[in-house]
Amino acid sequence: MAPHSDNALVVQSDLTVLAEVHAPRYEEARDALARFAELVKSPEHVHTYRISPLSLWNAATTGMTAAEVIDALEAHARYDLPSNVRSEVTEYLSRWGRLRLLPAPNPGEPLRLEVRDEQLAARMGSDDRLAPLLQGRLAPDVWAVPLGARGTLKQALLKLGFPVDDQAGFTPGAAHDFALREVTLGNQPFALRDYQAEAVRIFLQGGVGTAGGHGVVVLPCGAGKTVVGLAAAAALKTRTLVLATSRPAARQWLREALDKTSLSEDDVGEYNGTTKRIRPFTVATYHIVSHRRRKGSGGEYPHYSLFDSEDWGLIIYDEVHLLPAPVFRITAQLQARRRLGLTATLIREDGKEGDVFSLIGPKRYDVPWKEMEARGFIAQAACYEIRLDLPESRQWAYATATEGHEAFRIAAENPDKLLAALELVRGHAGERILVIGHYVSQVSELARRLKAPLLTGETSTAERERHFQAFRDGDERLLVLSRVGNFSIDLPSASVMIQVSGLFGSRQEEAQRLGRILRPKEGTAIFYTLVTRGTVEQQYALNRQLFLTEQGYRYYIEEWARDGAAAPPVDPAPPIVPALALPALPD
Amino acid sequence: MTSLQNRITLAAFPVARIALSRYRNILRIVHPPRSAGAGPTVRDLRATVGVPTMHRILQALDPSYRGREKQAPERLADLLGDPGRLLAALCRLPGPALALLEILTEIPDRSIPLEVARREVERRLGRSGVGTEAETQLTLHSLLLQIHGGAPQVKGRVILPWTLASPIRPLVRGLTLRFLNPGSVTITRPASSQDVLFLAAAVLSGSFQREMPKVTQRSELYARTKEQLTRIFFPGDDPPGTRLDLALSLARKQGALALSPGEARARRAAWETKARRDADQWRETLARIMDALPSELRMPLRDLVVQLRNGFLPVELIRSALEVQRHATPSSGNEGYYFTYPTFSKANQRAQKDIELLRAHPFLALGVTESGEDVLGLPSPVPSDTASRAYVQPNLEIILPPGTDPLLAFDAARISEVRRVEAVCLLALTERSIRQAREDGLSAQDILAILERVAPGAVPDNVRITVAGWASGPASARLIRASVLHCQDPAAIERLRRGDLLPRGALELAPGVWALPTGSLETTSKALRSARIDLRSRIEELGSPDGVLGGIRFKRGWYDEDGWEEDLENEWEEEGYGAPGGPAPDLEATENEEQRLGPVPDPDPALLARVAQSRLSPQPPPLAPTLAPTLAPVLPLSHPEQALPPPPLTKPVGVGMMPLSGTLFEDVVLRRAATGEPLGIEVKQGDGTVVRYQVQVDGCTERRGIRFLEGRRLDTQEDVSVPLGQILRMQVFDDERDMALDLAALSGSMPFRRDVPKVGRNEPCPCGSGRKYKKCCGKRG
Repeated sequence: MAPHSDNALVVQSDLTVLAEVHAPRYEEARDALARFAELVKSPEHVHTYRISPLSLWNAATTGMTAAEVIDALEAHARYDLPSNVRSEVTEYLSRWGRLRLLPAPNPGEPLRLEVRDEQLAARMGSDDRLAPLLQGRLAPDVWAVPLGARGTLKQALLKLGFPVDDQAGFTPGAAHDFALREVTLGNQPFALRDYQAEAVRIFLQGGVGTAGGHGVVVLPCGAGKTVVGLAAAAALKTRTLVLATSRPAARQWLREALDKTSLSEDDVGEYNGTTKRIRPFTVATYHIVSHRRRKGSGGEYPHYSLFDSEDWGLIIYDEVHLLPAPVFRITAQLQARRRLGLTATLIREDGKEGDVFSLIGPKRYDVPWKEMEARGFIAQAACYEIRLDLPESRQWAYATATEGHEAFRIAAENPDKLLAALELVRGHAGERILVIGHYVSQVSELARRLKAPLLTGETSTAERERHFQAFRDGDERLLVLSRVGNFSIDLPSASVMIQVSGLFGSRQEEAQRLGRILRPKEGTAIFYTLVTRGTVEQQYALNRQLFLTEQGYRYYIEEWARDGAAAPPVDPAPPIVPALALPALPD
Repeated sequence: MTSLQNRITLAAFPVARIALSRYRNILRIVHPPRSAGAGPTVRDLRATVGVPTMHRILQALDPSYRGREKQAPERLADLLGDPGRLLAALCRLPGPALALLEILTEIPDRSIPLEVARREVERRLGRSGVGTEAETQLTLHSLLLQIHGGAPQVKGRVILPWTLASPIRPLVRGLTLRFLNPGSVTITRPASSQDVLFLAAAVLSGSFQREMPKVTQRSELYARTKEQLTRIFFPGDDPPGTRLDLALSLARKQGALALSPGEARARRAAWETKARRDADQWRETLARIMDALPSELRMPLRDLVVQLRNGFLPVELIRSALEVQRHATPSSGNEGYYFTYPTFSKANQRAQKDIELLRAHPFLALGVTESGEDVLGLPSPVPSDTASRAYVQPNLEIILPPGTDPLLAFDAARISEVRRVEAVCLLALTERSIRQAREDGLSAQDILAILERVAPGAVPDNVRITVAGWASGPASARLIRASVLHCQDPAAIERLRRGDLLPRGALELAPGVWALPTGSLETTSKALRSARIDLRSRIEELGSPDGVLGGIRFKRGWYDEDGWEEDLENEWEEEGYGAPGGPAPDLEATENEEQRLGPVPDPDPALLARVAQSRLSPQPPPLAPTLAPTLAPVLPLSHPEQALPPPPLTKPVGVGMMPLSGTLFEDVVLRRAATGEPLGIEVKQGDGTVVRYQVQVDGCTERRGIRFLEGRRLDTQEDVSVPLGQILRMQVFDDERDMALDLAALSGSMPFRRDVPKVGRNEPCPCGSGRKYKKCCGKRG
């Protein structure tokens, strides 16, 4: 078969799909592919997608069949499909729906697991991973499942390669009537954006019936995940428990809930280390839920009681990719509650995507970052890596440092970064800037030099909130943050972030930090990273470069030299900030 | 030949001696008097051995030996008296001698008659009438060493076939290749494009004749290979890029063509036609490869196919993980290796894992046969696609469409790592690959130029900067010995020559090779790092300076902040064979070595001249005149306890072997050979007394011995007053060959015994610091 050069996709036998962006039929191919494959990376020219069992099952939940998948691939493939792709897609997709979890015929009775796979049905009774979770065989293809084993059974079966279509339904939860506002408290007109409405609709699957009500919505940082959560809760009109990553994030949920829904101060509560106010709309942190009285396996989780304290109708998991293991455990026991996972990425550093699938639910909705950006819902971003030399005075210390943390720290705390940060701040006069760093000593020095407020883990929540509010209001132009700035702070007005040091090469941290400035605003967001040239830090910066370019961002590298003579780059990036002479460091 | 009840004198030639030295613990080898004649000699070997031992030796030598024990002395004398039979018998022995002969003759049957060996020598040397039997033996021997002497520093990860291993060896110096089981070609870590390309290149290239000059630079090798490939694949004026896809597509061309289940007959017929065409093409390719092979490497076509195939498939992995079945493909009616997965049934987790693992292999693809079986094979070829572009992506990936100009693909693979070869070829630029390319002799400009050729005008800036950064990153220097620094980067060499980075007294032995004074390493490494020269000091990365200095490397041991550290127990697990008279390389022994070597420059002629001069100078170095009158008490023999009188001494006077290592050795040999400083040594006499000598160091031997000129005996009183530096205790031999024999014995069957008591960790350190051993010299990592 001659190659179809117009087609964009190259399908490989390892189930990866390469999509060439410049091909004439790329847009079409991308839309077709997005339904059943996960985007792995999207660098400039050729994007990589992966067809995995999970992605196929996610597609199956939306009603896609194997024939459709194969047709779509064939229609857009440039070369012949490898033969195994057909058979594997067919095989994996056929597994969806073979196992269905059905509601109990009468209340109080066990659930029914319908197994339409003879081999598996025959094995289930004797498999030592499955047998303890089953209560007996009701018919050759129907097993009884105790209510409490609903989650664990789904997990175990997924590990064996079989997804369970959970149709056992949900408890409605105690009703609590509230709605979204049309005009926010802040007097802004408010309506769901089309994709947000679509996400909510798909999550609920057209009603409040049994089919929908569990799943994950994937939206980029800044695309309004909170709003999707609120809208889902408002549509269900039920008591809602939100699990957020941190207290500032929890505060933000509450603020948004008050601002955008008809919930009153009395309806909302916070559940954390200091406040334990359980209200119809309660926001707790992962931290408090995972707290254990005694370390080790014997310890109990005193705050699990939160989940039983109210008849929750909806549990929202914010940043589901960070869900800690104890929360998975309690979630496995809460399968009768509706659940909504919100995240920017399904990729988990620990590879527990399968647990998210079986315990929270399949992915229901997904919009790629770049598309959101193109539509102006999140800011465009440019990423700059600025390389600085390590000053002579530190060279010796660096050379003799032991490998690993010590050397990294010396490189990360390059004093010239102060100067560079000062220059960048000066270059972005008038814009709102976040300066973020990993080491408290470093950020406090920066805050002193920049004469800007410093927020670290020790800063009280009230104090943090005050500064955030001042920043939002425009009273503060510059904030210096330690690691507390990584998550869920809604500072839409920030357009420049200067990262002076990071946590080695964490991909997730990059995504989170970048997300801080990807809130919709005018112009382009700029993400600077200061890196010490020729040190281990630069190696870690490579991870960042790979991650961000794979996300499709432009990545520029600038080399700054202390004496003002910028080291000649191979091909200079368009200068946003002119290469500036760094003043001598006063000692 | 005398034959006594328990004493036997053997006359044997060198090969036999080597083999017999393995029995050193039961035979006492007596060094025969040196023959004055220049011609080849048959040297006596005397052995004291009991009858049961003789019996055992015979059993070892000759499996067909069925004699009674009491006949053993006679039979052994008989056997040893007949060099031809002995050689044949030795060939049955495992071990160095065997390995040599086996490689030489490439006869899989482990017994060769002398006649055959002689013919082989004649054939190889291209002349007839080698001469007498003894002469043949010597020629054989020297030929063996010629083949194996300088070369066997092979590292890395590819296993080459037995028949290719030996001729390829000289070529693969410094490559990431390794030899494991003879008889198969396996890439054990196939992710490295370099390995794969090299293997293909080596097989394709007709350039591994024995007389090919030693290729020390990989760039040179690549250049040759490329030329060769061009010649093979593009003999006429055909434009490149339309025919075979070079090394990478060698794999693809084998046409592992999987069928889909339920596909129509017409498709099947078309497929068969294509497969047949491919098979024909493949056969044609093989024929060309065969033509390109030197005659002594000719092998049955089938073997070649198998070897090539094996080279691209991780056979061990598959075998262990899966049940492997061979299938004849119905279409070609010919060879075809597929691996089925009887275990790839639904919900079989282990099979899933295997498949994931295998999928990660850059050259393998899963397929489905007509009967629905899953098979593993090489991806079906894809028609070349000239409409598609090649890309260099900002995330440092290179994507090549099918039908890329093979020479461009080859170049691209040189600077990157292969991630996936299927319809399109995915390569990734990594720091390692760029550094490797740089070590191959590509400059930053060359690398960028290759990228520019891949994607003209579309190389992203961040890729250029990153790649240029890697390519021009900190220069690297490495410690090739505890106190020998080796640097390849021309700029860094210039920088080092300015002298301010290296300690006073550092001596440039060869271009880019410096001997450092003892104890200066720590400061040196700091100074180098401050000058942005990476000092790689981990011993795994250490190269061998054998070409320069002659010596052995240690398998274990490392250099760290606390200085050189090594495991004395393993001190003699050496591998740098190559001394004339030394044992053959034991192929098995190289199995576990993972060190990677770069080419080491040849020694500085000036230095060699200096060393030579110091030896030959009629005006001996400063010490000598004063010593002249006292030369009489010469050095003792290697085995003072034995009764024979010492042979008369000729120059060089002796060879010392130190049970010391690393720093000290470098210091002693290199510095003193160059500067003429005298050295004090301590030798244990037959009666147990220790005598000290002051000697003039002449140079080092091939195997970390010290060669020295006449010395003088020191009185105890004098000893105190004469500043000698360190006095080294050592074993002394009359010449290098004897030392080699001794070493061979040590490295063979006899364990190395420490002659100093072991220092307990909690005992005071013998260095006299007053600290515990574990806190002082015994400190690790």
